[in-house]
Amino acid sequence: MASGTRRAACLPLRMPDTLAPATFEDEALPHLDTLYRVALRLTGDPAAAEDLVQDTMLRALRGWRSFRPGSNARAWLVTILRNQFINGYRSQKRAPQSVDMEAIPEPADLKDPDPEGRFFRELVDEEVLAAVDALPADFREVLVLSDMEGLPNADVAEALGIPIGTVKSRLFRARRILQGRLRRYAEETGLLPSGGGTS
Amino acid sequence: MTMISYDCQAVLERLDAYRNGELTPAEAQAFAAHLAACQRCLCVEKHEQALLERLKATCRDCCPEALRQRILTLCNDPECRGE
Repeated sequence: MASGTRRAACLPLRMPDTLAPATFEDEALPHLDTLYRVALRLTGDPAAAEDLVQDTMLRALRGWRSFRPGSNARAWLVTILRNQFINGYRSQKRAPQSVDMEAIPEPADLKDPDPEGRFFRELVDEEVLAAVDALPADFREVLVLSDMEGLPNADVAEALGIPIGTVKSRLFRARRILQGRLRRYAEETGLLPSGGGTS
Repeated sequence: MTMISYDCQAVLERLDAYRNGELTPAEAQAFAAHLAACQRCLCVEKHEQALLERLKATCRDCCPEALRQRILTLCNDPECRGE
């Protein structure tokens, strides 16, 4: 009786929830939509995006044994996708762009005719996407992963292999550039009176 | 609770942290107090929030079904799985 109790006390109180190894289908397939959207923004072309996602999944499938169970599958897949893109697609499609830091606009100020930023809602998708696509590649990938796909900063840092501080600073600049471009567009199309804000 | 006070720079550096609920109650209070008193920072915060909402609502394209099917075929191919 006593020894039985002692033996029971040595056993784990509770077995882990996941005894079976995670399958590729369970871990990777739920992220296909995210991967496709990220590929669209990286390549700027639906056919190239499909090729990129397919190549990514093939590579991930072959490397599945190196995936550490319990780690972040989405960040792992995005890393593969981005490497594939840099190795095979970027050179064909989009040349890297440099950033003119002087061109980063100041935020809106007191004179802003639209202090709530309502004009953002009036913009059509095509214009928003064109402005995102026009961002320099380093800024675009951070903004797409963070602000469009909702990855936490730590996951973006992991996926891109950069420090979190760099994620934050690129995100800050990307948003500023984007706001400036969208504001200019809103002014040009009459959604905003021109010359009201500083950006 | 120790009183904290933020200037514009401190607030602008914490926009994401505030939105993500990463500030302590004292920090969040200082953040909100600054926004209530500073039109410029409030405007920056509102614009950023509006931009983020717009971005989240943009391009919700899904993986095309044909591509999904091709990938499922790959998954069922032992050669692709390196088996």
